[in-house]
Amino acid sequence: MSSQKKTRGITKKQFVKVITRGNLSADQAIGKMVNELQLYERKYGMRSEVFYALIAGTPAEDQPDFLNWAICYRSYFRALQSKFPFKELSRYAV
Amino acid sequence: MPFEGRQRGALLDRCWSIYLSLTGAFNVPENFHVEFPVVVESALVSGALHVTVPVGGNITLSLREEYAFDRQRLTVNRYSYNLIDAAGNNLLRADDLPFHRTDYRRRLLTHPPHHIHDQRSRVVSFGGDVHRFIADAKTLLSTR
Repeated sequence: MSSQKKTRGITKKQFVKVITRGNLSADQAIGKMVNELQLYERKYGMRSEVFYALIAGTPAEDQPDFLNWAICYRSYFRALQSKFPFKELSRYAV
Repeated sequence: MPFEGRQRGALLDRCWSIYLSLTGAFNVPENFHVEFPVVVESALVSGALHVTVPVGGNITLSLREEYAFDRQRLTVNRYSYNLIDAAGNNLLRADDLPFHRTDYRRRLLTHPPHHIHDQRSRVVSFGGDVHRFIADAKTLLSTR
């Protein structure tokens, strides 16, 4: 049993207030996702587009990294599409 | 932003319930309380939540959920929950990839496609509830 003292949390009011303030821009959020995608790309020596075409949706995806990579890739596209809702992007949509 | 109005509210409620589960189950670091809202802000942009939190003993809990909306109802489209040790080994992981129909004893999963890969990488049944996973992770850590 842990005898450590619990850290003080935030209230839901504080939580909503921080989020409503909107400190994180869409660019920053997209930048974080790009960094994560690049980590996977370096680790596996494969572009995210190639990974998504070859591995996502197959039984090979059943590895934590691949599952996370696929979710990150879709999230990146979703964020990008909401920032640049151009028709040109739709052909890359997943 | 992909989520507006009620959808935004539903996503915030979901994330808040995860925060409550995590802080209720584990003695999280002080900075987690500051970082969590930032992570949720990111989820509002990307439609996916990714939380990693040290839960003691060099163990990290990583929760990733991808959201979608069925009309106004929030659904978790895909998830990956992981309890990872310092060496990067998965002590417990759950996901909803549709490639398992049976558990390691060849019995049908109770809530397919939801399943857990246990410490020995065996597939076992799982209901898909993140709060249950957090409780299981807590139980596993308390027995180590």
